[in-house]
Amino acid sequence: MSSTLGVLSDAERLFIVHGVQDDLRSDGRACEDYRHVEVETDVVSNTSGSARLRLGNTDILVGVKAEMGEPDPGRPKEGKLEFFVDCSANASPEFEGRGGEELAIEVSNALQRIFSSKSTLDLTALCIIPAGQCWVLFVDVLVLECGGNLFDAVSLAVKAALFSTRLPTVIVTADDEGQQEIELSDDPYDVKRLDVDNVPLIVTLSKV
Amino acid sequence: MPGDSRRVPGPQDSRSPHWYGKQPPQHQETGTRQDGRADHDLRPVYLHAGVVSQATGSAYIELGQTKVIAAVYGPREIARREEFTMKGRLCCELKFATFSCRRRRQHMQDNQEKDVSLIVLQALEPAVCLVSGGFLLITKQGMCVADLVQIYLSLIRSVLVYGHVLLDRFPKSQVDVYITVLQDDGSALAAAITCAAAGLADAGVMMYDVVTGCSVRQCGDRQLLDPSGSEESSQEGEGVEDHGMVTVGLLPSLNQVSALVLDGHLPQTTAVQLVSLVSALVLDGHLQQQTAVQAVKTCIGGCQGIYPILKDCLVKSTRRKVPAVDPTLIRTSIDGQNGRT
Repeated sequence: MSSTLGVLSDAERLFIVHGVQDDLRSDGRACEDYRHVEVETDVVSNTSGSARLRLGNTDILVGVKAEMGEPDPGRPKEGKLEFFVDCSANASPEFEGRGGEELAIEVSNALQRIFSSKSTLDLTALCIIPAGQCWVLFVDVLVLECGGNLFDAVSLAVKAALFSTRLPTVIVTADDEGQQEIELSDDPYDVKRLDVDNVPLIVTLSKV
Repeated sequence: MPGDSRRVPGPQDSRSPHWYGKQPPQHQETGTRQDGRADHDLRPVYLHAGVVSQATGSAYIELGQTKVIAAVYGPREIARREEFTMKGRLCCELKFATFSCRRRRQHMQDNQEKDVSLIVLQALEPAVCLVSGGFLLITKQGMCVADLVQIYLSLIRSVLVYGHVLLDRFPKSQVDVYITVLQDDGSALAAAITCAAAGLADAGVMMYDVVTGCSVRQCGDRQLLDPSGSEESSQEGEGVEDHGMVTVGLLPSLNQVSALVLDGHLPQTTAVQLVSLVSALVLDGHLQQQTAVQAVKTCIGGCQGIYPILKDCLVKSTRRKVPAVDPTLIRTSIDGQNGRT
């Protein structure tokens, strides 16, 4: 991130390289150790599902908002997933205005790529009326603090948020003229959950 | 207005499922509130300073279900494109997270967010530096321009003017306050003011006082302190004479109002009353018992209620930063030195 961190003396560089050779990093971890991960779900009540994840100093908040919309004409029996990553100015003053845009696009494209495979998430489960109405899941990722390994943290947080997502049960009734009407269940516990078993996680490695 | 370059522009093609469900009953029995509070009770407050490790100072506040996080960066150099200035600058940027409200918000800062940012900035400025009387007054309805001009003129005369003292300590530099509303369940503006002030204090920015914010919703003759989201949006009392929102930013130990935002229809809020209210606050305590005045008074009571929590939180965060020196440790180190000599 900061340019001053990139400047290392030869001795410091050697210290890190030798440490890695002995399977030890400067914070005491072995080469293949993760930092401490904390995950919390259902943290924002205005959402359908949410999760907050802390990986070391990286802090991510993910909110999933389910809305109803029209499916793509090419895929009438599938719902939609939309990703958006917001590198807020809270995380680093460099992200102010459009500063975080490039990183945000990179992360959201990575998410789109891992969810583009059909086996990842069953999008047909998000269909309400084929070619008429479907669930649109807006997955909004808010980077509260950026302390490295953003991709892994975001993918983990998104999976947790999708796991906690509850879609209200929808009853579709057809009236006399064949017009279909949508009614939402009144019972807040009458909900449908998503199957996130196959949602992949990103693992980032750095070669020293 | 710049659009969101990351999305295809066009009308929103999806809507919230809440439209298809039954609306929960909003009407409540008179005398109680949905969460069982009395009219002049605050919700439980949680305030924690020092949450963002990279920031100079930061704070996180929960007012019931309303959650706000603020990060303060600086003082740092003003970007070169800005013009030269001998005094420091305070910048404030507020953003509602896209999932924070019941309807999904857009990613670009919209007009409401810009407006709220400005209110928070102007609420904080009197604490950090006082600019021309250091008072902000915004009315959205029911007041004419002439009244406003009158108020401003009276204020400049009546409010103590400190001048740009504290920001003078940081020439050519700026302090940035970034606020994100993570969840909005009413009183988001008040929470943002308190949170930003706690963040500034945590960052060690010199201030006369830490600003606390509080809101009151007026429903007819009822005054609901620290309104929740459903109380804020309820239509109750719309047909009656008085309804509206009052938000006050207070410098609690100086007992001065740094921001006063009125929104709605409060017919008794005349310019004369407000001016007398403000001068009364600055000089001493004779207030007229009118609706608006009463609402502002209730707000001030709420602000004073938050102040001990804010103080406690700042003491805790300072303790964490500067670990208390254990007297026994000092003695052993002195003994050790003596032993050596």
